[in-house]
Amino acid sequence: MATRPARAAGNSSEDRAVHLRAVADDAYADWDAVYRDNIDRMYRLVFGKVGNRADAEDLTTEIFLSVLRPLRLPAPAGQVRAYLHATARTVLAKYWQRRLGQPVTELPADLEAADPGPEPESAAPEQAEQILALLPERYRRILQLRFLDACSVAEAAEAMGISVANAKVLQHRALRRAAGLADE
Amino acid sequence: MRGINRYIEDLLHGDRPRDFRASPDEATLARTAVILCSARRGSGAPTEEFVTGLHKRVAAELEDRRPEPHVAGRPRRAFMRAATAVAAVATGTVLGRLFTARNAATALQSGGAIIPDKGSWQAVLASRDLPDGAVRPFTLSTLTGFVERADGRLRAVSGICTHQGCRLSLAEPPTQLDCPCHDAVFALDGSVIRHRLSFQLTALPQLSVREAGGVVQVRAPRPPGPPGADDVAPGQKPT
Repeated sequence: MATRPARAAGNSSEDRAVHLRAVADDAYADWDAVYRDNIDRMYRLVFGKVGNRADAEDLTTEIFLSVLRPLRLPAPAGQVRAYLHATARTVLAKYWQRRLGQPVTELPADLEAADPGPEPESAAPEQAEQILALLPERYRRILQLRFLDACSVAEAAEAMGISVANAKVLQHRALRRAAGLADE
Repeated sequence: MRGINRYIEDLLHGDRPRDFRASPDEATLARTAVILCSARRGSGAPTEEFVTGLHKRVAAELEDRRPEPHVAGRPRRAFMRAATAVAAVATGTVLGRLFTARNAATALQSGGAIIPDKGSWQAVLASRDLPDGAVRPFTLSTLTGFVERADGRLRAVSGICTHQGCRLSLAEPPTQLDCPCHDAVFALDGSVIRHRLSFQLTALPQLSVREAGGVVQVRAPRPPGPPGADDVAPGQKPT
């Protein structure tokens, strides 16, 4: 880390108190502060973009390791968060290019903000609720069962009282409709 | 269509989706599937194992940049979370000195957590059999370990002693893991509590653990056998 925070000699609980004040004053004194304050949020943000743990972990790792070198600490928290988000945007763009062979450009505001502030998390779960709420009942149900409740297609079919083949068709149509809503 | 269908099925299984060349329509479908998946309950938060592992990796990279000796009481040490401080400091500083940056990253990843090259999520027990505060042993064909639910969070560690490979047993009360061979004792987060060996004992590797469809699943190496035999949908128990 670039510097150690100014502090009186003392026991570790005093160290912690000094450290927490530094964060509250909206500056990151060292890497631990950056990491602890941002890891959960950055992971959730990335997870909301990729939807699976393996990729979310890899990309979050890439983001943190690539800001490690350029970042000079201490630095204002807002600047550091904006830098993390800008890095996330680059890393995610590269990811989509590789995964789908084309860029996925639509990014909601939480990635665009200059200083995303201390608390924003991924907007994806709310977005999912909004999309589901706009769908016809059967479409909503099949997507709820498959995507949110992690049911197998057989379990979803049974829950809805339809055949497995019908459940597959229904899921396909429902997702198409949902994609139409998501794309608006 | 095949690529996008496989992509969606991978996501639904909680697996890393495979690459394909998507049309613009398919890209929108993929993105919608991601949005829906990300609303799966309890799925958006990072695992404790990942957060701790990356923390160690970051610490090791920083350590490598500043080769001066690690003085007790330096800020980084003081700020580590109490729960992970012992293991993180021990492995972080030792490995940081022994390996170059690139090697350190690899060594920490494979030493701190079991991340199999060819892994799959494998059910270890029903969710209802692991109430909050409980610890349960499990045995898969490729590894054995213990899974714990504490304050609603899942955690799993290997159940094999890092000294000579003896099988650990759960102490009574179930707060620690005992090795029958040389009385080494590990905490449920894998850190070493005590041992009477003359050298540094490595912490137990952690395992990725999650819950899907009413079962607790651990990421474990695929068992040798016919391909696809362990492709189990969330919510189905492997047979």
